[in-house]
Amino acid sequence: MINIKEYVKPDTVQSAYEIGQMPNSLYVSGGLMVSQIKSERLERLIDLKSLDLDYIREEENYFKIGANTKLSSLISHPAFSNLGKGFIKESIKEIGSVQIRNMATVGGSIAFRLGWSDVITIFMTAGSQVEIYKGNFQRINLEDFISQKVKGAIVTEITVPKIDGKCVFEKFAKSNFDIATLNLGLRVSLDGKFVKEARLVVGSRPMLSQRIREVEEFMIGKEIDKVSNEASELIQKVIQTGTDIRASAEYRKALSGSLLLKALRRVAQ
Amino acid sequence: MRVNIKINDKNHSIEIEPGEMLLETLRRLGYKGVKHACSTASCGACTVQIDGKPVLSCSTFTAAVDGHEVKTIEGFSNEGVLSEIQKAILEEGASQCGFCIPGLVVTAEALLKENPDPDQKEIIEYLKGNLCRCTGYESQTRAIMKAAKARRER
Ligand SMILES: Cc1cc2nc3c(=O)[nH]c(=O)nc-3n(C[C@H](O)[C@H](O)[C@H](O)COP(=O)(O)OP(=O)(O)OC[C@H]3O[C@@H](n4cnc5c(N)ncnc54)[C@H](O)[C@@H]3O)c2cc1C
Ligand code: FES
Ligand code: FES
Repeated sequence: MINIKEYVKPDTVQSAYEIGQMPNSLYVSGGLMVSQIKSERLERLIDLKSLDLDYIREEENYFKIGANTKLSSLISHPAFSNLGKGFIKESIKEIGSVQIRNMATVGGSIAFRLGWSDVITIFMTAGSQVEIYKGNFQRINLEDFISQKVKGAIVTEITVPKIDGKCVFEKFAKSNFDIATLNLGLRVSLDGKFVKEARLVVGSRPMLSQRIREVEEFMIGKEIDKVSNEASELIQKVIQTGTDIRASAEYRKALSGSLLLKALRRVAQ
Repeated sequence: MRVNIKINDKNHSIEIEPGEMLLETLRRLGYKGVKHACSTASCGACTVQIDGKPVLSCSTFTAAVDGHEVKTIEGFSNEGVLSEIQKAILEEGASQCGFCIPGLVVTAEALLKENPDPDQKEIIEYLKGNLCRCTGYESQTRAIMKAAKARRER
């Protein structure tokens, strides 16, 4: 039990946001993380489940995902789960357990800005945008959203472009139910054998997911099956990592090289 | 605050604290088959189904379940007659201390509903959030395969 005075369920984004501006209030979606909070000051939880934000809509060039969509729905949606030739299905399945995926929402996963979040790495690899509400609706790149602390804003929707090219996700964890020691997403489009575009995202460094632009730029114009070793060496030189209970900064650097090698082999197949 | 929840097909109108967890509510109401272990969404012992989906009651706010249907382990046996999964667990020696079993059965019921003929890999994958300190999982996997077969042949 957490000690609060009220649990409210507003039915519009505007009213949820207004209540959210009151001191000692917190939004709750799946509740997985909020249920662990031990704060004496917290007075009010604002449940976002009545905002009609549980949907996956397919448009011509992208999918729109409501913030309250559960991670399990991403896997069970026939068209969305197959995005990037099954990239979404395979990568989301790496997260937690069936129970966790039935509870965790897309909005809660992104808004919490966890360094070890696989969800953020996966959606950043796909080139997603976030719609937020803070008095008005705004749309920003996921990459910019996680680097800014937008206080009190409600995440309402994620837009995920239809991916052309190949996309893979690699996660290294100590067990298949543990959070990542390091995770890595790679999206590559090819012109014949040559890399035309590349997006490389690494998370759980243990800091927040980040694009590794030096390596992306290095790969462009190179032959995909010849770039692996040099790219793997380069990422270890340029990536910023840290030490925590799971691994040292040096270990994570070496791991980034191995995961990139693995990802590039899968992309080249 | 007052909430209305259907638990194992019975309607309950209950007074709860706003920050109360479903696990606490269920045990207070007498559904003691729902086990309290880690409280951090890490072990699966407290698993119940909400609207047919397995979730962790230790990390679910009761207030969020207002208007929904909950099924606990007590809802899967029929007037004292064990379900196929429970029977197979006994027969295969898949329960030692038994603490993880209610959560395991509730999760396995959802698996067999989604996939009546799971292979070993699919069972291990689906049940990876249900930790067991005693059995080493082999007998549990065997039991679920056996129960699935019995159910298909029923
Ligand atoms: C045991 C366990 C294992 C896990 N394993 C993994 C893993 O392997 N990989 C991974 O990526 N994640 C993992 N997770 C994290 C899981 O995905 C998070 O619980 C999830 O990210 C939080 O989602 P939620 O909907 O439950 O959020 P909540 O707990 O409801 O909210 C989280 C935070 O976000 C805020 N918030 C919620 N919704 C919104 C919104 N729409 N707009 C603005 N703010 C909002 C809340 O105020 C709170 O601060 C794990 C979690 C647990 C407990
Ligand atoms: S008690 Fe709920 S997951 Fe362990
Ligand atoms: S039988 Fe003891 S924890 Fe599973």
